[in-house]
Amino acid sequence: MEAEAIREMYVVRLEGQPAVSRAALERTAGAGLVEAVRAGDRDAFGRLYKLFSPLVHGVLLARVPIDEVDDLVQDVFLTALDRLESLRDTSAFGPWVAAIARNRAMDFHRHRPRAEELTDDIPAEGSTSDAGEAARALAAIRALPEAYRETLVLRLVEGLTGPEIAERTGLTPASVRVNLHRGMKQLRERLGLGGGEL
Amino acid sequence: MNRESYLWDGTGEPDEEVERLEELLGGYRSTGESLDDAYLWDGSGEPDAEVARLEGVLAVYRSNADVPDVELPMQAGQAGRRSSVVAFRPRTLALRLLPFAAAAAIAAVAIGGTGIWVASQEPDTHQARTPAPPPPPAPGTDGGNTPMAHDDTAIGPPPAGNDRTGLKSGGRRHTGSFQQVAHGAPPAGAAPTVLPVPDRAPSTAARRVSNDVDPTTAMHLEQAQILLRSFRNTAPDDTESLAFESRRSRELLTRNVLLRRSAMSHRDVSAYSVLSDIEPYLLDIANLDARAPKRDVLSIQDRVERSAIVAGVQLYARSGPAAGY
Repeated sequence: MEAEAIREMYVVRLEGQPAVSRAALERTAGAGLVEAVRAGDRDAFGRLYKLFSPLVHGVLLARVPIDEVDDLVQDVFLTALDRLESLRDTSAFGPWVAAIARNRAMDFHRHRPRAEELTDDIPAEGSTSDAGEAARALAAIRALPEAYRETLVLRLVEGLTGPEIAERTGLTPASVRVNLHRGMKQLRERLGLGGGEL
Repeated sequence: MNRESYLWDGTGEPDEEVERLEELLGGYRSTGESLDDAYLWDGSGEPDAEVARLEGVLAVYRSNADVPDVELPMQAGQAGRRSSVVAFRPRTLALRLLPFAAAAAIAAVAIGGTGIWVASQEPDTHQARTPAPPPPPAPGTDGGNTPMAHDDTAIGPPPAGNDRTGLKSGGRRHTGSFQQVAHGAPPAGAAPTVLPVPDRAPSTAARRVSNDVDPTTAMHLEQAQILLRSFRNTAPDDTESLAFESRRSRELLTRNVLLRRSAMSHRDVSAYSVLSDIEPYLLDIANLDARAPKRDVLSIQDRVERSAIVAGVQLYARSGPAAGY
């Protein structure tokens, strides 16, 4: 009952909102959803997952092999669920879960077996397909300095806006904007862009 | 004065030193880069064609947000905060269980060592304290002095005398002196010794306790097992066989991924574990090409051999989840 009430209280419609106010609404919604999950609301967990999985996915995609990302996203949420009681500020779920994701990525590399990764995402030389372009672009992003890598993945892959990235990662909007701008500049150079095709 | 004026606001007579420094340090000057990138920032304004193009092609990597099936603490009826997680990755689970396994191994070594040490002390102690051996117990009795001698939990057949069994039990409990135990004399009021037998309790609440193996999974595992067995026995320079096995492994790998995901969505942790375990081997074999160095082949063969994965898969296929997965 309590869980239902909490969830109802925080049901917000995010579609169609300007990016900045939408980010603020998400923060409120996130806090409410965390409370509801703590109260045992399974639907709230689903909503929380959908709201923040792009963030976790992006953080991991910037750091670990593509084939591992989906499994690790689930690992991160399960870890977060286990430790949810330790989260003091419920509105900081995003930065908190992003930190868990970064740590999980570090753990992954620490314990990674020395085996070759089979990936279908490595483009053949001269490949012009969308898949090839995507793989080349992602590889270029992943070769950027870490500060730009995560921000660009969240923006270009996960489709989050700058204010949303700032809100969910806990970075200041100014930092995100600079990271996006400089990261994009480096990415254009690496991909040989300049108004042309990829 | 003029020089100071130049330093102050650039007017008056130029100061050569200042000019020189300006020239040298100009490289560090801000480029005045504009952050006029509204579309990149929040998607507003005129679309940047390159950013839009990148967004389009990179969308294939976007999160699909499949919500994992978990039990929340309140749903599980648990007072504590821990949730029952139903979809651990086997590697994670193995890592979590590693400390317990290590502790169990250390305990086993310690108990074994104690037993051997006590057994090596036994003849002297026995001779010193008991000049004459006790009369053999009457048939059907335990001699009246070894409550642990016919303990149901005693490992192996009952010994001829009662001492050795007593030592084993006494060694583990370590109550009273070894001599007392060695002579089968229980401490006053002591309860019968019972060896602690580890329960085969379910490893996690989420674990599906069933011996049913999905027929498709079973068939797949059998094929994988045949492949691994064949690969293990292939000569590293037999390029034809290796090429065939690599192709076959690629086929099995695709199916393995599908079955693994299906097992996860059906909460079948056992099948998920075994499928996850064989996947790296299938991956490695699938990665081999005709020009693969011999050492790579030998390395994979060695890992297949050492991990006993073939036996593990065989066991699972025969016994299902009860096989330890």
